[in-house]
Amino acid sequence: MGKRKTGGAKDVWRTIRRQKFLLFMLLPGLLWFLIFKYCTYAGLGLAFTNYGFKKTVDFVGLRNFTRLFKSATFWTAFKNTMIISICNIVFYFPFPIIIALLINELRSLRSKRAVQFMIYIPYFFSWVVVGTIFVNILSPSSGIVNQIIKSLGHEPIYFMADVRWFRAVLILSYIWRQMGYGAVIYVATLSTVDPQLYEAASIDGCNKWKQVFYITLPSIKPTIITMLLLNLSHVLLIFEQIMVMYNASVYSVSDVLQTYTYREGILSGNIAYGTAISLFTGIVSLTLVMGTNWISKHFLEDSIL
Amino acid sequence: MRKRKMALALAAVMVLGTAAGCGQSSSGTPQTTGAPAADAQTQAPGGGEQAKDQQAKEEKPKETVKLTICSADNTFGLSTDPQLQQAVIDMLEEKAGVELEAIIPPIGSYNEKLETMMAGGDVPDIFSISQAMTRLPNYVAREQVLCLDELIGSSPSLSAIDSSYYDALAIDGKVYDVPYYYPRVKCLFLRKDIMEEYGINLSTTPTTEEFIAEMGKLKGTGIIPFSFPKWIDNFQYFMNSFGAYAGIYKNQDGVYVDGMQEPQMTDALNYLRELYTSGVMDQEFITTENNTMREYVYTGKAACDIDYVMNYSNYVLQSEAAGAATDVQPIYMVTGPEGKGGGLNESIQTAWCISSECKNPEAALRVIEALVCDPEMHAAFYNTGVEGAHYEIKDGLAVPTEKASNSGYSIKYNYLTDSFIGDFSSLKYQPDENTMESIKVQQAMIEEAMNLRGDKQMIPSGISSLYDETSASITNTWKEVVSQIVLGSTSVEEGLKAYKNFWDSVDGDAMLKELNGQ
Amino acid sequence: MTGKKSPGRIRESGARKVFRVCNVLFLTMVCIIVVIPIWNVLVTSVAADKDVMGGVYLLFPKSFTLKNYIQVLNSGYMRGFWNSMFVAAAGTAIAMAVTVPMGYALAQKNLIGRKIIMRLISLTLVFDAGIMPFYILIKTLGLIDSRWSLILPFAVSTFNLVIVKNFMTSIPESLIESAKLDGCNDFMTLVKIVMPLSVPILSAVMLFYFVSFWNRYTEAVMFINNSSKYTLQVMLRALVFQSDGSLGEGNIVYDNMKMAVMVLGMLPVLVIYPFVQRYFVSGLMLGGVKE
Repeated sequence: MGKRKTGGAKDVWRTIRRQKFLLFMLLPGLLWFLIFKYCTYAGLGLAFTNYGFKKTVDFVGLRNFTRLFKSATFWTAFKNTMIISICNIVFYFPFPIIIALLINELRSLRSKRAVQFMIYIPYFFSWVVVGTIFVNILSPSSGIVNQIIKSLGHEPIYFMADVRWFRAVLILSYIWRQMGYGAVIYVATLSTVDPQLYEAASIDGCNKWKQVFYITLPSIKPTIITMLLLNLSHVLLIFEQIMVMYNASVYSVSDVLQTYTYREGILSGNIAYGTAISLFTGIVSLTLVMGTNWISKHFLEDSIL
Repeated sequence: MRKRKMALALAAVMVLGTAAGCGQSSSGTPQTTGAPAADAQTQAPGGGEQAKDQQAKEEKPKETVKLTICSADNTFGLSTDPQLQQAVIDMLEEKAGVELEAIIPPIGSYNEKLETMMAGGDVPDIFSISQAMTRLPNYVAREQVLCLDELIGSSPSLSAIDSSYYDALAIDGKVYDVPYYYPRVKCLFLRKDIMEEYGINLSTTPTTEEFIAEMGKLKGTGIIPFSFPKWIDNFQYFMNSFGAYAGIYKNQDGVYVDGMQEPQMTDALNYLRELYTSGVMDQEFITTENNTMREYVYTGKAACDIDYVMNYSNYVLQSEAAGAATDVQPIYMVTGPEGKGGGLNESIQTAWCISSECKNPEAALRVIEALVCDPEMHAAFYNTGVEGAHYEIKDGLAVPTEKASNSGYSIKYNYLTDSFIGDFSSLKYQPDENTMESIKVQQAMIEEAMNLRGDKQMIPSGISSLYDETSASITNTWKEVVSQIVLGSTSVEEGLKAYKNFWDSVDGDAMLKELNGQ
Repeated sequence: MTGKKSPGRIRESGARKVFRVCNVLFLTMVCIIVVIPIWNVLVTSVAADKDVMGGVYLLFPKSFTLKNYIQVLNSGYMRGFWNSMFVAAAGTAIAMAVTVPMGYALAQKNLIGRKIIMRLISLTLVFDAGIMPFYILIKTLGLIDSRWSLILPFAVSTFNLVIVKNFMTSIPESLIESAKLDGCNDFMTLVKIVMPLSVPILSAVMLFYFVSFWNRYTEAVMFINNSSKYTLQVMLRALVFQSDGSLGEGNIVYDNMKMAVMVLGMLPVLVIYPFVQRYFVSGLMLGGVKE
């Protein structure tokens, strides 16, 4: 990189010398990535072996992948993962932003803090507890939601066992638990927006709506895009929530890549196959993230990664 | 101003962090080697005493073996407190004459932890496996566990255990494990007070029709007639009544077949569906956890549920604690139209294995021998812990120490009915009369349930690679289809058709051929 | 939207008032939706055993007992607490010490090899080798059964690094250049100029780190063998899940105990939270430091 720009090893050396402080600051982190990330990637090689059912480990080429692509269960899991993830992004992602903007509009600092604090707490509820809470409020006989439905003269719905509703339950519970936590970064970013901009705008006669669209949103735009990319990168890894909330009757709409990996890889002891699924998941996430980054670069002139 | 301060604080934190980081990296090596040294030191006194003991006895040769033992935290004296666990370890060391290093992961994550250690090459010398039927074939195929035929043969106490329990988990006629306790069998438990109040008249082996008719009397009372958990495997209890078996099994002719596609499965599924539509089975079973189900029966919110026979005394105790004391009646099996039926057999759930790389298998076997056959050790490890640490003896009764009861420990006497040891009279304490009474009842129930238990089979790994690769999906699919049929989101015919489609997509017939060696 | 032409901050328009009221109502509703389950948890955690059997979630207290809390606190809670505290505090300190300088360096557009490094780092966002290779690495480093196995492998979160880096990219270059002209090296610039400007983001990231160290469970079970080194989360979950195995053995644990365990598990973080929060939920008057 540097070579092309400066032309010559001497110049590179000079740049390095000039940036010695920067490089020194970079060093511990780089070492960390090398050891704790890139060293483990050697393990991804297991995806091309038959590790798991025999004492010896043999290279089997792409056999795990052909098995993967042939398996109907895998494709169901893949489809479910994509649907649930995309719904999560579409429905969950705007929530923390909206909440943060609304909190920002509150006048008293104390209520700002109080609201921010309260909506943050659900994040500490383990999924097991969130699952129990949702089973309770959605119960067809005693849950509050179905009591409302019944009082409106409709038949109660068994949300947790209905393939048409179950994904909606997943997404709602996800929003409920993660909303406050997701808002932290936006609230923090909002507090760094220069107040002088607002003052200038209101002197120019901008009303609050215009201020939000012309000042607030543009100033947190980089954060929004960053968060979008970061969310996309791990959205396929949804696991614990599904594990504790699903049941046999809704497997067809909620079995995802991670639960599939858990079942076929960890519980059945077929490590090579599990690794193959991880590798595949990684490649799909990479495509998602890179695609979004490309879009962001071309339409918003803002590359994040 | 405030921002500056915060920034300064952050900077300070960072400097500290770097310092800590450097400190770690420079002192890293001594630290990692230091930890075991410290461990050795803390253990030295115990080891020393033991050595003295042995010198005094002059019987056993002095052992310097150190073995690792891994078992979940529902063993080691039923307490999660490390000090109390250590007391049990000390006792075991003394009994078996070895030095032990124990790994005690939480029960909830035990399988993952063990699987990771096994796959990562850290196979513990001695370890217990839960859900032995699914896990053992795997470890055997990977040659990570030792064949125990000879070792068991050399131990009189282990050889005394009924060979059928060894055979249940034998692979190619070879034994790789020592079962820890009797096979687990599930039956139905029915509250006697509700039976009386509503005139429910059911024997311990009623027919399928009687069950629906009698339980139907509870309709409209607000009591859930039959509470059931979300775990679909439990349906096997009713499938037994029709001679049906979910999953692949060896039939009477010794041929592997797929139970879902056998004709009797249709009858079983129709019956299960009827259980649900008639309102007998909890309409919300698919979201009911095991604990919730039990608590429904403890409190009288439900009349009946399905549980391990060995949990009988819990029902008596807990219903009393819930303010709804009652006795419960077991239903060992529901008899089908052709007189078939049987309790839900979960086979040997927990078994002990020795690593194939264990340096001293004889010593490891002594540890297992003590755990399985020594009354004092078995009781301590399985339930009660160690005198002085977990409990004290007052008037022949064991009373939990303050420390132990603070850690959630309570004395359990399940070892009296679960283990292969018939005689615990050598122990210094005995349960009080009430407990003894219900334990005796429980004992009789377990014997009866063992006679009436249904079939359960294990399919070895490594015979059919197609099976090894698809067994998890097969299980998942039949559970899905059965639950959808019962809940009515699909009909029996449609559901079985969907299953057949899946079966063809995974080349099921070819798999059966491989299993049958054709 | 038919606001008067007069400056909004002096006199409010009618629409603005409506908005303000709606906003308050909406946020109150959100808070209620969040608070009711929290209230449930608290009420359940102090109820007597027989009131919580059968999965009943109470809205109004039927009984009051602190026995569950006392039992949890007596069950070696403090040991788990200090283990967790050590991991979370040391972990957060190291994590910040690595992440902040690295984020700053990567935010400098002229950094040599910046693009390649960013690409390599982005890859780690999506690729996860799984627990097995990770376990083998930890074993090779000799960290199995050491508390450092819960700290060092998590010293950098790519997620947090990217957040820090992107925020620092948005700081005007003119500020950094003028600091350089004043004779500051990069380290001084970071401490004197960039960090004060990034306090809200840094405190949010610090919170993220602390919480992630505090809540880590799976790795703590996988890497730690000696149960006296278990963190609070492992200890508390073990206390509760003993009963959960379908094996039907172990101690019977009711929901009130589970809830008490959950409350005590999150309490330390909730106590810390307001102190950190001051730095990212701040009033607008703090922006002026930029001058």
